[in-house]
Amino acid sequence: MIEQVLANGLIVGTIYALTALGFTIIYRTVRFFHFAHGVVYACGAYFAYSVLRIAYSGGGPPLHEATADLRYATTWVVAIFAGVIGAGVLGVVIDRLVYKPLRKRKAPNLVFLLASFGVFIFIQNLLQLIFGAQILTIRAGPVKEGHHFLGAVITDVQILILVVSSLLSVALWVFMQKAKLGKAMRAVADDRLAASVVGINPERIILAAFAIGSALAGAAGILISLETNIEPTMGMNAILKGIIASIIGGIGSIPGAMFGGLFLGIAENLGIWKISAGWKDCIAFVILIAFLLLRPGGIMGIKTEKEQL
Amino acid sequence: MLLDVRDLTARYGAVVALKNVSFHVGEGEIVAMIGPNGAGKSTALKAVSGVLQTTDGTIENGKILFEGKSIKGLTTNELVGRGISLAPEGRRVFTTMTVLENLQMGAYKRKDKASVSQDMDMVLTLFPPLKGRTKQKACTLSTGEQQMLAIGRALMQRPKILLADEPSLGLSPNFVELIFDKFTEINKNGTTILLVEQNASEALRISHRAYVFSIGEIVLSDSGRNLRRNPDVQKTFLGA
Repeated sequence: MIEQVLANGLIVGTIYALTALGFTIIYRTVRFFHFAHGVVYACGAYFAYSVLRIAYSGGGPPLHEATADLRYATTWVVAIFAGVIGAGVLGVVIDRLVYKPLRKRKAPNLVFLLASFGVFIFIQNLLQLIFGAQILTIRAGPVKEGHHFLGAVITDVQILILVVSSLLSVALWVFMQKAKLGKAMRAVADDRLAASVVGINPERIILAAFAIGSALAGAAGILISLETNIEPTMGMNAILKGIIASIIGGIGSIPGAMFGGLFLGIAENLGIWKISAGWKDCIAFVILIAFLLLRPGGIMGIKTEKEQL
Repeated sequence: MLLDVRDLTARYGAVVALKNVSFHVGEGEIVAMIGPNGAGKSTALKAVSGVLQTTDGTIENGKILFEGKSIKGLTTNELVGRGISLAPEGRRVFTTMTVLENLQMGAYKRKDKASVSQDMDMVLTLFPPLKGRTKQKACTLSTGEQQMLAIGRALMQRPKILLADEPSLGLSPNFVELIFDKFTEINKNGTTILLVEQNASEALRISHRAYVFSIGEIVLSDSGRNLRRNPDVQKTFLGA
């Protein structure tokens, strides 16, 4: 049983980690809580749903048959790209339309946070207006029995979630360490003034952070909707868990976001194994409060206070 | 004339920090701006380097010409690549990055890989303490070594003019002398230097010319040597 609990925790944890990573990439660059990240996550799922819906009125083609049928496979590829790239574009649009004018006015962080809430509510309501408030699904076909693996049962979709989110996390890590743009993003996160001193245009880096971070949110939204349902309010839970994961990992730290996500997923599942599933969110917040009280710097504990310009 | 600043007036909000200040830097010179805290010397440098507008400052009036072209209003990152680079106040190295990465970031806008690696060798030869620590995180360096790194990072842009804002701030005395000797060496290699400094005696020791700031205005300008002999300067800044 413990194996199953750990497996479940790991799977949901990689989704949390992915959401937290996107949130962190943006946070490091702009230094405010981009709360609307949650609704970008929801939009990723809805964009993918829309493509599937247009291609097949009502529900998508069975994912597990995508490997057998080229037409299915193409539709899924298009849907996933639409979700990921659509989310990336949405993030950039939010920044250009809302945050950039605020930056020009040198608005305080609180204003950004409030604006972000506003964007969240606006887009969430837009989703409800277009798609309705009801639960939708992009899954189709029967749920196949899972594989037995180290004492746990894991389905194909869950393996897909694990593999894709791990690959994305690793790819992001390598990108940040090795790519020129990744290094520039680290430089801006480290010290924005120093970054301009070496010739980095902060606006370009902010653009890149919103594009990459939001694309990751879109990917997370699609992955989770392969496993559960989609609804307009799905972004709220996602961003709360993403932020909790970021904080317990160490706010602003990329490895912190990864470990924080996994830690949170596993802790939640261990908790509901012994208590009851209804306590899941409660467990997450108890962990958050415990970290804030005992280790506010998080697991990775990087410095966050630095002279801001 | 490499840098020519005329009638510069700048303010922070309602506070006028500079009043009609004019100064210039010729090619190959080391020019120092000295004066007490709040005299406006740092504001003058920040106006030239574009840092002023990223903070709450504004340039109200005046001209800033570099190689005859106006650079007024350009942001710090836009100045990079035009031959102006800055070793900022408080060093501002990338503390989460290694020494090597810091220097690489200095060459961020350069495409000429071969000469970048030449300059890397040059910087590491100029500052031997950095050479053995290229893989170390910059936050593990001492203040003096971080200042070397900040100057090295600025040199990685192969600038025509190096702007240094309070390079001796927070450094131990033996490092102060060393850093100023390095400025002389950098200058001999062909880089023009404009520095803002509280440590007047060191600044005047190495500079060809200097401007003395007081309450937002330039009150004296002369060769470094003459200023060191000037009784007023001695009394006010050199503790004589």
